[in-house]
Amino acid sequence: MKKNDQSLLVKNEAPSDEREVMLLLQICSDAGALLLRNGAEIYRVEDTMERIVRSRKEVINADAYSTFNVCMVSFNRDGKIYSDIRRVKDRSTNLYIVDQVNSFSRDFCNGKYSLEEALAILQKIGEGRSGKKLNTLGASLASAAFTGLVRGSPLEMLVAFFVGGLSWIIYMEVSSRKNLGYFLGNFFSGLVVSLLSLALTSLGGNLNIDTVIIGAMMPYLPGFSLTNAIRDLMGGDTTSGLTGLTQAILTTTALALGVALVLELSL
Amino acid sequence: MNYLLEFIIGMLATVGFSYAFNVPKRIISYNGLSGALGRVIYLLIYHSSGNMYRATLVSAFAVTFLGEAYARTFKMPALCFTIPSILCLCPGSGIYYTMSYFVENKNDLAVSKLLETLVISGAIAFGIMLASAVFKAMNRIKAKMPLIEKRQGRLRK
Repeated sequence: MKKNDQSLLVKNEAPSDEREVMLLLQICSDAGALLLRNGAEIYRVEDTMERIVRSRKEVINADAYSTFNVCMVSFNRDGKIYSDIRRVKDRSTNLYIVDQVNSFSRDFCNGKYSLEEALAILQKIGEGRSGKKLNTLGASLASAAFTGLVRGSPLEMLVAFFVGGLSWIIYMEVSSRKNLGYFLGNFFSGLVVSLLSLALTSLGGNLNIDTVIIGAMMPYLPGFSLTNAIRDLMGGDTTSGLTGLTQAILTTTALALGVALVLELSL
Repeated sequence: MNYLLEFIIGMLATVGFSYAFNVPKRIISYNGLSGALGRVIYLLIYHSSGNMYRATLVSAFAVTFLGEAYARTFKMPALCFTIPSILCLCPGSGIYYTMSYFVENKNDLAVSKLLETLVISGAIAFGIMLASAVFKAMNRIKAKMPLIEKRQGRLRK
């Protein structure tokens, strides 16, 4: 299949000197690291890196390899071997950036940008839109709606809306200042969610705390890494798929432990 | 009437997740539609057969299939379409009740909930696998098509 793809690709001008080769290498590994950091599947990372390198003439033996948190590329030009490794420690989810890099790599391979332009564009994408307010609104909307899906009353949905938003803000603030790691981070978010819902439901009478907590902990559930892990497994990247599955199970356990601690103390 | 309400709430949940994960704005409405459809399919099958696992499997398949089809038409990563809608099927209540039964020391209930949650997750996983396998096979067939046409052209000459 790869051979067919190659023959369909438009080959662009070869990098003329050492500096241009270095630029190409940097563009390639920047794009790969951006994709990996923002939650793309492994096969997309490898495919994008390989395509970017192969779109230039006179580059042979191009190979890209990526696992759960590292991506590397290596190629040969004129008998010299160039390679680069990027380690991605904090993987998060920003599908906007994934989409941007995806369309960037398509344009780049069609020869739309020069090398310098391409590097500048990638940097701009990486700084990209954070949209914290929209994220918070989304998390609270999702919490409220999920409370509705498990048959919560409208008042419970309202409470879940506030709990979801508030806990998201607190979680984001804490995790941006201190790197808790995924286990402690999710434990902490479970703690915050259950504390907040305990506090808010004890204010007014006759509210069911179960539905509120279920709704509010929904944004932290690892549905994302579960889906991604399965896609990785299907794509043949078994290592990353199994790592992702294990991490999803551990994340869920941490979240449940955080909620359980507060419930245990309050009983 | 009940289904309409569920449709709207499912749509709201999917749109919420889309915003939380920074999905590009121009496709959020499509995501909402597929998430809501997934929810309605789940309910329809659950009410007609009473089998939660079957309902989850079919709706996960439907949602992923729609997402992949969108991804082909819009030329965007399939990830942007499938993830927010799949999240609505996640067994959040199963996880919560497992944990709370363990806290209340009702072990038999907790273990049965745990099994239920695991099977539901498995059903979601299998639904995603089936749908993406269908599209992978289609890709492979498509990639071979131009070759076949070329060969036929040569023969004619």
